[in-house]
Amino acid sequence: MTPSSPPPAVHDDFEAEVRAMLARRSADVTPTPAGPRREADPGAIPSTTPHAWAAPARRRLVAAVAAATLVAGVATFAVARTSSPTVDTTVGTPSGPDPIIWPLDDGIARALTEPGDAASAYLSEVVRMDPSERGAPPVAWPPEVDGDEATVHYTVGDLAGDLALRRDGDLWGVTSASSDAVRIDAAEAVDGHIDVVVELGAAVVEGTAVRVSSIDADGTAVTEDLTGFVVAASDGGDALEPPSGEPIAPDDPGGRTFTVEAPLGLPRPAVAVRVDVLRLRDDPASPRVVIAQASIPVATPGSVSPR
Amino acid sequence: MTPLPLDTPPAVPAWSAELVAVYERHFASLTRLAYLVSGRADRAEELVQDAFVRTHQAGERVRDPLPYVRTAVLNGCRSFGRRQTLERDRTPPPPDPVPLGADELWDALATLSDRQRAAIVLRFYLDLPDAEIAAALGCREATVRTSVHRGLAKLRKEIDR
Repeated sequence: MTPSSPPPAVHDDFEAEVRAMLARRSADVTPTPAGPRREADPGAIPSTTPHAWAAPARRRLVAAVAAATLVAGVATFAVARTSSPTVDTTVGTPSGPDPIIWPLDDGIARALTEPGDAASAYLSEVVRMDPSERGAPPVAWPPEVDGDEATVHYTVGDLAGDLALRRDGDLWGVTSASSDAVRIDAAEAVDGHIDVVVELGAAVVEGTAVRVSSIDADGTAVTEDLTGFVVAASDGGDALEPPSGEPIAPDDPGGRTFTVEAPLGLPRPAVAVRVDVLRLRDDPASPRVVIAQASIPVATPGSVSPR
Repeated sequence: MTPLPLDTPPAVPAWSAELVAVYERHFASLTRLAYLVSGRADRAEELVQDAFVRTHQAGERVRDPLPYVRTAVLNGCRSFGRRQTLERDRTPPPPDPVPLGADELWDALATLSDRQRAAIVLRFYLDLPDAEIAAALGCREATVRTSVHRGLAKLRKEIDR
């Protein structure tokens, strides 16, 4: 791994300047390998501190369990899925297993001893897509379990998505969620906010908006607002809603990858981010309809992974 | 039979020959990578040593040690950076022992996000292709291109101030 291979074509002088600076600064250090160590230096990299689950908020427990039972019943009729899941459930990465981002409420968590139950509860409690919008209720397909990890494919009408889950003791929780319509590729705290790199699918078209939420360790969506609009006007050119954000532009011209900002979640740091894609309203009094959703964990200063 | 002393430490499995070879061949370049990404010359070797230990501890799960160690180094830099951020309000960071001259572009590098900085270093120092950078950062190639593009734009902006 040395920078001796032929460098790629230099596009401009600034890139050449960056390259020269890095080469120059690399000489600041003179590595002196002392030989392989056997154990990590506990002072060098902070370990993940086990953290008790948040205080129970039981008001949603009954609804969650009931919804899990209902959707799981629907899933019973599902045919075994043959295609590969798209959620990356690779194990053994250097950063360790992904933290569970839902449920962060121990009252709900105690009821979720099967991955299918956890997936179904997540669909009804978090995704909460209006079945009438897709013409069908959500269907969670049988989980594909690999040790302490599992993937559950779901469909809502013509929309398909995947949930990645992990077992923590006897309980299961969701570590990430994605769909054909929206996927979060990365989330990173920087400069007082969280940069969220989002890939929008073809289903996200005119008249839709993106809403980004930061989730704290109690499972609370700290801030929730419209971040930007794919297209903010109706066919007639009138604004569908008073825009609270700017039209979002793709990172690459003509591309489907966007970078949007989420709040860090102060005063309590965020542990996850969620992106909802909503259909804009003709009538401002009508509720916004979520047509797709994705979530992933995020590390922010001061945050501690709950599970 | 001679009894073992009670305080005999448990046997620690030796590193694989492949991992030792990676250590011998790449320790220096990984240390420079850790320095360029973390900005801390005094912690770079520790970060790399710990990355090797974690790779060793991962055992048979690691099919190709070099990419694994490289990602572990980047993760270590990120964790170290987060801890620095947390400690910044409590105590000022110790001065870096390396004497640094004025270097506007180097200073500007510190304003980038962890991912942008790592992407810039992997692209312009190690000359890795998008696919390998994506694997090291745990993201997709489109995000690598985004990170490099945004990172360069921010560097330009900082330099123009």
